[in-house]
Amino acid sequence: MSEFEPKIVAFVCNWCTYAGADLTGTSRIKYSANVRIVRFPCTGRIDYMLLTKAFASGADGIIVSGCHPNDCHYTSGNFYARRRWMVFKKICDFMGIDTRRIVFSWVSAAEGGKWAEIVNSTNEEIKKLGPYESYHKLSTQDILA
Amino acid sequence: MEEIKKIAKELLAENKVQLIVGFEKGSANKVRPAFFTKPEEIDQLIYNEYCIHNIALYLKKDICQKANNLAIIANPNVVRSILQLASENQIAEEKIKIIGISFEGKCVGLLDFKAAEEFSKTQPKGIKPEDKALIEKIQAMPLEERFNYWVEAFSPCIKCYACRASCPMCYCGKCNVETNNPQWIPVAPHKYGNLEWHMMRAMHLAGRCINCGECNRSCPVNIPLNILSYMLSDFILDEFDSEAGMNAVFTPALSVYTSVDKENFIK
Amino acid sequence: MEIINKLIDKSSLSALIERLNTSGKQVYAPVTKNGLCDFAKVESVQEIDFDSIATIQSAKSLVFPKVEKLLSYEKTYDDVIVKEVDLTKIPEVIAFAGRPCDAAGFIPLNAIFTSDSVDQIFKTRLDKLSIISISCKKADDFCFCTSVNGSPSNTSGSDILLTEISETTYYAEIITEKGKAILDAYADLFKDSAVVDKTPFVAKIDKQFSTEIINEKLKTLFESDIWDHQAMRCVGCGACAFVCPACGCFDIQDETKGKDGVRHRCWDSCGFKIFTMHTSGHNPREKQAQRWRQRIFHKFSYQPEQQQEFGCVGCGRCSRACPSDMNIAEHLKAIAVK
Repeated sequence: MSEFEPKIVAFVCNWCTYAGADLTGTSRIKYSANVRIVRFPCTGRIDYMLLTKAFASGADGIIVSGCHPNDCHYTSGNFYARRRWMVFKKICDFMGIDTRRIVFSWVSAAEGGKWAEIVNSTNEEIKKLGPYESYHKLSTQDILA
Repeated sequence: MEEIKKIAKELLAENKVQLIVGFEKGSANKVRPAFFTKPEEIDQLIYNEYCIHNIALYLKKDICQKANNLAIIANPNVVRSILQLASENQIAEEKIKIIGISFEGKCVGLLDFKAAEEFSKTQPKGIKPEDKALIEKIQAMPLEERFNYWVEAFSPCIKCYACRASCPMCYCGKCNVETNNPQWIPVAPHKYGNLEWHMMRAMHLAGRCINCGECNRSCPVNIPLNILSYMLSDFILDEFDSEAGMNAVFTPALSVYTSVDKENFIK
Repeated sequence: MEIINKLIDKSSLSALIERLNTSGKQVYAPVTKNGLCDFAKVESVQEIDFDSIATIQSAKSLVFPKVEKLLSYEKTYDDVIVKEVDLTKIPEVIAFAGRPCDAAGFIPLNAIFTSDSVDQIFKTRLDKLSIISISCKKADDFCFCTSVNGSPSNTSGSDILLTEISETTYYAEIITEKGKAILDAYADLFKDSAVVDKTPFVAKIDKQFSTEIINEKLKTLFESDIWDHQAMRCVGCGACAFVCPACGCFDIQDETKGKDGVRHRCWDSCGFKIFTMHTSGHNPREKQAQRWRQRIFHKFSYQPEQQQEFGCVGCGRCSRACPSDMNIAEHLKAIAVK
């Protein structure tokens, strides 16, 4: 059997991390192709349920990334998001959802290198953890025969 | 008890309020929420140790919305719900008179919001020792076991939404679970649908729940839903020093931020 | 078929349960777990709670589960392949030690699912279900079966009805062909008996009203203020409908994963605001009082009119489960004297 290739979904904000990821590309920095990027206007818009939906749809790992504090295009979206992530991480942990598979980061439009590092390190980590079978099983057992 | 009746009767007789929300005798040994509009009806009003329903729920229902002014028989949970609803601009101080009753059943008379805040702070928290013990037990489990615990705990859920319907803070005109174009939270009460629903609900109540435990009491299949909110309330108090139901002017923890919030988990 | 009268020793029940299980049938019976009594799959008689007055939920989930696959589908490049549910895979089930009201509940439920177009999945499940009920020795304040044409020893709906007539013995009435099949298969466990008068061995439940009076009264009460009055404390959850043995409303949901998907049927309740919500935003049953009225009218007016069955068996589950103590018997009594 070939090596396990994780599916990683990245929820990123339009103004910083998405531009940062763009820079990674234009700088010709090579990074793991296991990531699928979903662009949002702001981290403040990233509904926490999207994360569980990603797991349910087959993701093994998740990256949520946006502007550094004080850099938000909308002034404070990332500040609200930061609190929400703390609480969400807490409830996920309490409910036994594997929070090692969710990576939060700040990546600015100038940090093309950091984006590559985040994706690569997440990919390595998820490879070690293996596929997120328990959640995939839960979300598909009543839908697939 | 007599004092409560006296206050209630006077309020109606002197036309200070149109409606009183309280309790009357229910079926078998139950008590039930009741609505009084005439002084002579107050004889039916009762208050005893079984009157633990969070009747603040009705403040957002038609019957209370239609009344110009009303009074409510309020144990500390109801008082806290009123304060939280007030902080969310759902009830105006001039519309409501609070007949406060402590957890021991002692009537403390009419409370304005200021007095209600004081009263709320002096009363013990609603979290029971067995709930605390359960939270600790779950936290001590390994990850996979925790996950399985909740999947199993939610599996009897029939999605009757009694938890939502009996929660004073669940007053949204259209619940997120009714967002159906496309369907956001699965309607089907299978294991996955149940997990998402309860997780979504706990998150929506994070920082707003006043820990009355009504969701658990109303659940026909006894799912320990309340401990999700308890756990989060504890966490939010620790992290953000924020507690719902204590102040009439208050912004829930997830609707504000500070520049020094923790970010040691962010890469 | 004429009722066959038999006796069965209590000590034989354990053999009966075991042998039903080994014959490949699934036996469901009231089991108390974490303080809650509900129907669950059992393998031995020790697991069964014979003492509970009624389970929290009714036995309807044996034929009408809270979520059920109606079909599955697979999208291909230019087509959709629909796969029907394999009806032969539906297991043979025994509902054991339920109450006569549980058994009676299958009658209105069957009428809902089979009176015009026949729901094949439901019908197959019901055909493969045998019901062995036990008459009620006790009742509580919520029981009112005698007011809705039932009784603590009512045989309708059951295939076999057991009545405890002594410390050691049940009187067994074999009511239907399905019941007779069980009798024939395990004849050694049963003994012959004469007809026994069950009255001294069962609970006494006073009749509070009659379905005919309710039905008659409802003809003039559609616009009455009684609904506003009664529904005042209703919180609008679906607990009553979901624990009800006779409530058959459902919602159809398609769930997809990639190219595969299923069509689910899940319980729904007329008490929900969204139940009647139109796409336009208009809701013909906007107020909770209108939804409560619908619940009563459906059970006591529309169903008897369209399907010749009342939609209530008087088990009292809705009243027990209600978070705001909406007691249906009390409300019906108020309607009867209105």
